[in-house]
Amino acid sequence: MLVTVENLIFEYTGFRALNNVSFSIAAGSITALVGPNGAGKTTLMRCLAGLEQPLEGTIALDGIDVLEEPRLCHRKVGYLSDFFGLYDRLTVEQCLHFVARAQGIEAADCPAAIKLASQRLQISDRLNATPMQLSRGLRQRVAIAQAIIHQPKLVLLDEPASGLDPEARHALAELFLELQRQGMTLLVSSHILAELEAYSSNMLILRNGQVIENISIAQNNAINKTFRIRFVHPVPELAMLLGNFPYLSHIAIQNEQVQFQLTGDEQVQHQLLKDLFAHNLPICEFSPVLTNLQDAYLSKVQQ
Amino acid sequence: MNPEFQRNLYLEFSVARLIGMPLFLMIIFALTYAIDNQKLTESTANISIIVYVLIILFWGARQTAESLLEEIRNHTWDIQKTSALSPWSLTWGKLLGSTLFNWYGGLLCLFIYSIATPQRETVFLVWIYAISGGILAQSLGLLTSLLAVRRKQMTVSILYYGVIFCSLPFFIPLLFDADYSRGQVDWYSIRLDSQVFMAISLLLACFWAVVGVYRLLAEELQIRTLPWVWLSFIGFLVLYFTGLIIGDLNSSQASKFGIGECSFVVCGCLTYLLILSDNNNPMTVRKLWLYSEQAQWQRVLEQIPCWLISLLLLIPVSLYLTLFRDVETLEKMTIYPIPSFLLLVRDCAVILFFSYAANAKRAAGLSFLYLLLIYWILPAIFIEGGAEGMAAVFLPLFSDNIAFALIFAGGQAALAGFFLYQRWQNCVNHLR
Repeated sequence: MLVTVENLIFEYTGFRALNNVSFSIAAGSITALVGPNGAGKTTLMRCLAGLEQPLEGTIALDGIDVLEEPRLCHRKVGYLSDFFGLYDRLTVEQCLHFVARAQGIEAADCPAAIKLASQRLQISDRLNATPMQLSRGLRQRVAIAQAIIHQPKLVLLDEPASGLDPEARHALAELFLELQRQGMTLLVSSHILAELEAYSSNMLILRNGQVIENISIAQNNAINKTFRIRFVHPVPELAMLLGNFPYLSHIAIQNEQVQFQLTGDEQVQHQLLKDLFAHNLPICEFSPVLTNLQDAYLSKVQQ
Repeated sequence: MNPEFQRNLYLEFSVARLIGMPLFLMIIFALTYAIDNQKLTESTANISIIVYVLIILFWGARQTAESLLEEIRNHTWDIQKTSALSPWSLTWGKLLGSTLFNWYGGLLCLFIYSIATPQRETVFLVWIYAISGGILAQSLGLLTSLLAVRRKQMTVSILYYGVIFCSLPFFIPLLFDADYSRGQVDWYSIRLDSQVFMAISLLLACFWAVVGVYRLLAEELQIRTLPWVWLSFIGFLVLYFTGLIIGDLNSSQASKFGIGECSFVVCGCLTYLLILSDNNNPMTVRKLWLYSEQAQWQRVLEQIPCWLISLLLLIPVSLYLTLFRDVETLEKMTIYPIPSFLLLVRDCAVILFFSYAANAKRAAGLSFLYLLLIYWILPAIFIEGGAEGMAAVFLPLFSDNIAFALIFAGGQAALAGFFLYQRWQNCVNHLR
C-alpha cells in the first residue's frame, strides 16, 4: 500500500471534520474521493499533503510518517488544491522552473523536467505565455504540470475538473490514465461522478467526516451485478417469490419490470434464470444494467 | 540560486525599472544640486536620506508584508508550503527578493549621501544604521504578515502602520543628525559610545527579527519545533535591558531594578504582545489538553503558544520577587508581583474569552477596548470622583494593602477563568 491512514481525527472549532478515518490506497491506483459538500474531502487531502496537522491518527506515505516528517512527504506528493493559483506575472516556463527548483530539482535538470511535464500536459507550445493569457482548461494543465514536475509518487487533485468544458474534462481523464500508466498514484476528489468513472479504479466515499465505503470499482462491478427483467405483464406476488432467492438484493419492482442486484458469478446467474423459468414466469427480457459510479455512490450514501 | 529569490527577481526587475529608478533619483538630486548652488552637499545628503527612508522603510516594509499576503490571496502559498524549500530559503528569498528593487534604489541613495554629506566621519555609521534599520523594518513587515496569516487576515493595513511606527525611531538619527545620540552608555559597567551601542542593538534587533520570521515560516511549513528560540529571545531581552537599566554596577547610582524585575516586565509585555497578535484558537487548548492527558510532552511543547510560556515564566519570577526582593524597592515600584501576575492572568482570560467567541474577528478590537476601560477609564472615573477605594477594585495595584490587592486580583482572575472555561467548553464539548 502506498498510503495508509489510521484513525485520523481532525477538528475545526465547533465541528469534527474527520472522525476516525482509516483507509489505504494501493500504489498505481486512481482513487475517486467522493462525498457531499462538507464531508471532509478537502481536509483529508490537506492532511495527506502534509499541510494540516490532525488532532490524532497516523498517515503513512511510502514508509514516511507524514505527521512527523511533513517535509519529506512533500517531496513525494504533488498537490493541486481546489482553488489553485498560478504566478500570473511569470511565463508558464518561469512558473514551471520555479516549482521545479523549489521541489529540489537541480538547475541543470530543470529544462528536461520542464520539457517532460509540458509534453505530458500538452502545453509545450504555451511556455512563453503568461497564465493570465490562458483559458481555464490550459491554466488547469499548467497547475497539474506544476504538481507533477518532481515526479511525485502520489498526486492529490482536489476538484481538478471544476469549470472545465466536456472536451477539456475528457482530455483530463486521458491525462490521469496516462499518469497512472507512468506509475503515479492518484487521489481525485470531484462532484462530477460521471467524470471520475472514466478513470477511477477505486472509490472512497466520505460522509460527515467518516469513510462509509472504500471499494475497488472493478471488483465491485464483478461481484455485485445489477440486472433487469421485463415481463409480458405484471406478475402478482413477484416480490415474495424473488425474496426466496438469497443472492438477490436491492429488489425494485415497477409494473412489468424488476431490477435487482445479484451477488455471485455466472453460475449463480444461470441458476437464477433456470429457477425463474421453472416458475413459468412470462419473461420477455433479461439484461444486465450497467451501474455507474453515481449509482454506486447513491446506493452507499442512501444506505 | 534560491528559487524564491529568483522568482522575485523575475517579478521585480525589468529593463524599464532598472533604468527608471536611477533616472528618477537623478531628477531629484539634480534639483537638490541646483538648490545647493551647483554642489553636492547638505541638501542632497538630507534628501537622499529621506528618499532612502521612503524607499526602504515605507515601501520596502510593505513589499515584504505583501510578498506573503499576495501568495495567500492568489492561492499560490500551498505551492510553496508543499515544496522542498527550507524555512531559511524562504526567509531570505522573500526578505531580499521582494525588496531587491527597493535596495537598488536605496543603495543608490546611500551612495549619493556618502558623496554629498559634509560629515565624512559618520558615513560608515550611517550605512550601518540605514542598512540594519531597513532590514529590521522589512523583517518586521514579513513577521507581521505571517502573524496576519495565522489570524486568517488577508490585508496588511493596520499591521503595516504598526511596523512603520515601531521602525521609525531607528531611522530618527538618520533623518535628523547622525550626532543626535552621541554620548556614553553603560551596560553592565561596560562603557560604550552610544552610537556604537545603538548600531549593535540594531544589528541584534535585525538578527532576532529574521529569526522570528524563520520560526514562523518553519511553523507554516509544518516543521515541528520546540520553543527554545522563544525562551532564548526572552533571556536575551532580560539580559539586554537589565544591563541597560543597571548601567554601572560599581556606581552608587546603580538602579535597584534588577534581573528579577526586568524579567517580570519583559515576560509581562511579551505576554500581552503575543496574546494580542496570535491566533487564539480554542483547538490549541484542546490539543494541549489531549496531549497532556496522553503524556505526549514533546507534542505539548511543540504546540504551546509563546504567550503561555511567557505567562508561565512569570510564576517563578513573581515568587522570587515576592520572597527575595527588597520590599522597599517593590513598593517604590508600586507593583506587587503576585497580584500583578494575577491581573495578567485575568486579562489573558478575558482576551481569550473574546477570541473564542463565534465572531472572533472582533476579538482584537474588543480586547483593546477592555484594556482601555479596565486600566484607564474606570479607575480614572473613580479617582476623579474621590472613590479611590473603588478604583482599587478594578485595578488592585492602586491599593495600599497587599492582601486587598491579592484578594481582588485573585478573585477577578478566577472569575475570568471561570467564564473562559465555560466558553471553551461550549466550543469543544460536542467534539468529544
